[in-house]
Amino acid sequence: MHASKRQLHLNLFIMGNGHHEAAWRMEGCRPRDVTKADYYAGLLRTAEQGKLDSLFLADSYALPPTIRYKVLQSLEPFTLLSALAMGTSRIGLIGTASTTYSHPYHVARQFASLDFISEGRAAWNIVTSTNDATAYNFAGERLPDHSERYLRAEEFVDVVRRLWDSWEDEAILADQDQGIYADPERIHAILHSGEHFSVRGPLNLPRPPQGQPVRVQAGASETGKEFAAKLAEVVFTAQNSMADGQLFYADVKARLAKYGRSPEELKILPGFCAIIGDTEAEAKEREVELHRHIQLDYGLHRLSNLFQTDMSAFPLDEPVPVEFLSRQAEVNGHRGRYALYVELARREKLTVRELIRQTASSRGHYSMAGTPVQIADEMEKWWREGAADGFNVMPPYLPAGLEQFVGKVVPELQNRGVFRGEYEGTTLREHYGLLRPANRYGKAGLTVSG
Amino acid sequence: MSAGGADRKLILTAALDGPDYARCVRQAQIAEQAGFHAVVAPESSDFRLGGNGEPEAALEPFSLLAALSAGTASIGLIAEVHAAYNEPYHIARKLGALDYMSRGRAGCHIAPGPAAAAGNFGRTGEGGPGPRLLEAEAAATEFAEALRLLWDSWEDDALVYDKRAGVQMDEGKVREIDYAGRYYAVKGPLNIARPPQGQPPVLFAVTGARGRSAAAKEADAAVAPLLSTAEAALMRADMRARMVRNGRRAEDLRLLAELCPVVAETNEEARELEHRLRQAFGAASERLIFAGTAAAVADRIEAWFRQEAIDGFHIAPLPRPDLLPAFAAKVVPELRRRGLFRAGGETSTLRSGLGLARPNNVFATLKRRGGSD
Repeated sequence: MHASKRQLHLNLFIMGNGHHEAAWRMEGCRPRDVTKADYYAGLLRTAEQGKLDSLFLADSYALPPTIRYKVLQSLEPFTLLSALAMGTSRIGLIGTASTTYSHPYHVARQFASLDFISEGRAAWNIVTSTNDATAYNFAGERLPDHSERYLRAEEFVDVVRRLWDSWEDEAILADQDQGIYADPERIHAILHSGEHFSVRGPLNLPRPPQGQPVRVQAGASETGKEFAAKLAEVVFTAQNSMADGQLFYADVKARLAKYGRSPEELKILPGFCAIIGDTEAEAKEREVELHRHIQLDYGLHRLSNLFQTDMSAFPLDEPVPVEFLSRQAEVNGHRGRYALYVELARREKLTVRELIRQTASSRGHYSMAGTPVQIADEMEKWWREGAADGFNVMPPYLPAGLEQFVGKVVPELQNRGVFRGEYEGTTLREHYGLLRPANRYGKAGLTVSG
Repeated sequence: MSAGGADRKLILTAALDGPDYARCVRQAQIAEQAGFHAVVAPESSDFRLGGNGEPEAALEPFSLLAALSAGTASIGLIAEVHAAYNEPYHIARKLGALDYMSRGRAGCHIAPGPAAAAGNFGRTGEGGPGPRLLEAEAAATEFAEALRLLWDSWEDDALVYDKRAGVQMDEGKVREIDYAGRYYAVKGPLNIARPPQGQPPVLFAVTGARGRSAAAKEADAAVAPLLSTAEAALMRADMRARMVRNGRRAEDLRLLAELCPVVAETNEEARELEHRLRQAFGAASERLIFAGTAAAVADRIEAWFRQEAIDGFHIAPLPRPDLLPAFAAKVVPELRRRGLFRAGGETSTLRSGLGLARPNNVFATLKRRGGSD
């Protein structure tokens, strides 16, 4: 490992025209750009100028029921990330694949291919699917329940990692220009037969440049946190406040030891939505302007979907019915996010209208409007005081929100010596200070990257 | 648009091969510069040892083609898909994304998938791909049908983006497809708008009678392993009859013969090379090889093309890395001089390059006919 000095990590999370649900209505925003490759290529050039660690694209396999107000259509992440690998040379590329409606052999190949094409910059955000609409797109009658989904996910991840290892690093013997000259003795069938999958292997690709692409995860439920401690290397999380962030951080890091892992082997990145202005007043004005364009109908749909309760039945300007919602213990969806919203409403005594507004920027992730210095202060504080190893940066509107972050907040963090001024490595593992995993097959011994 | 007539031009496509990304980039650039209509990224759903005892490996087709879309400007990008091991929803989205990113250059080649790969896709306690493999062509037909319906689940003008009203979409122009076939069930709608080509072109390989039947129902183009012009004529007549029986116009299908071109300085040299290749392929896999000088290879191509049974050739993975560049550098200019091949540098969608019309949206058409809404 290189320099032991702890550095902050910054991942860019892109969604449509920005994370604020009214971003697309702002002047200058071009909503039709979300299906254009050039739009994303431009954003990535900006992110790479800012020396950001990685880009993350979320994904889902169904059209949400709120299409009238928010379509959330986008380019399928794998295809898009492979194209983006071409215009960039350093920034990591984090794609999403569900362990509920995919097969390990496909997922292993897709991430291995992305890792080859990007020369070691691929990562897999491991998700389980959370709504019945998705099940209907894959011949499924209903969603497997919450704990069943995680058991399946664990087996899925294990199979994918073994497929990545199925070719030893030394299996390739000669110049690939001359055709592939591999040693079949160093290529292994994995012969997996488990509760959910049977997979013979080996993979039909050599071991990827990073050995194994990086594993990313975002579950916040009890099962989700345990899964992260056991298997994830980067965790995205939504936290309302630094205090909540500290609790989550301590909780997850404390779980690592029982899996024989050290705290440095897992990086925790809370979401951070920054509405940036040169003065605080300017930032607050931007926030008000964004909130002014919120569609209440959309907000109600959004809350109703999350709570699986018709929220239009409650008066907009009365307090959120937290007791009623808390009693609904058996929610088979975004468990972590459900609890986070109820807690936010309870603590801040929010009305339904206020909860819609408070979650419009970033769906429960931390959000603040301020100057670049104020935002850097907040980030540095979370990072120094045990709430974060870095941040999942969620620009409220694009591309300007990202340009402001890279142009103003990043230099502030660099000047304080907490964020890199240049990339030090070339792979995503190197950016996050994660070791290249040893191959379970063949020669033992840890290979160190960087 | 008709495939016939005096200005009829040859269609050329070529396969990419190998796990090495840089090599695939070179192949795609050679094909694009030569004016080929498309490159095809082959799918491989399992690990195999090739004829020479070497492992065969391949990049995942959509990752590969998406990356190539960023470095090319006009060539079509066709992904092979193994129906038995895939879900229409995933593939419809990926093709949609590729079509947007490449501005209308995406296509897919739907193959049933090799039975030998079933061991990689086992699902304990569930059916897995078993039945899809036993009735492979029927499953591939359903797969293509489900793709088209998913792409059509949005009308072309569904997105309105009315900033003032805060409305993004006309909900009446997006619908569930409720597809429930024997092998696939998918409710929809797709989560991406209808692709630029409406429906990216679908290719099928035609081998046995069931493959022909599948292609006659769903294919925009068919790739056939043909060994003689007589066989090509029979294949075309058969496909024509099958299409008419399915209520399709016979001219709405492009028929491509699989070809291995071997170009050398002299005919003797080429024949020597051909002899060695045939030995390497083995007697079991007889294939169409045109071997000779550039002029001689162009002669054979011209003779096949003038007969009007086929619309062009698909150059399958070649056993030597120098064969495709030689064909592109020497034979293609000769074909162009003879007026058989397009000028090159044309930018168009893959569909229009193949001389195929952009399809109407099936749901919008039904709605108009029904006079509702």
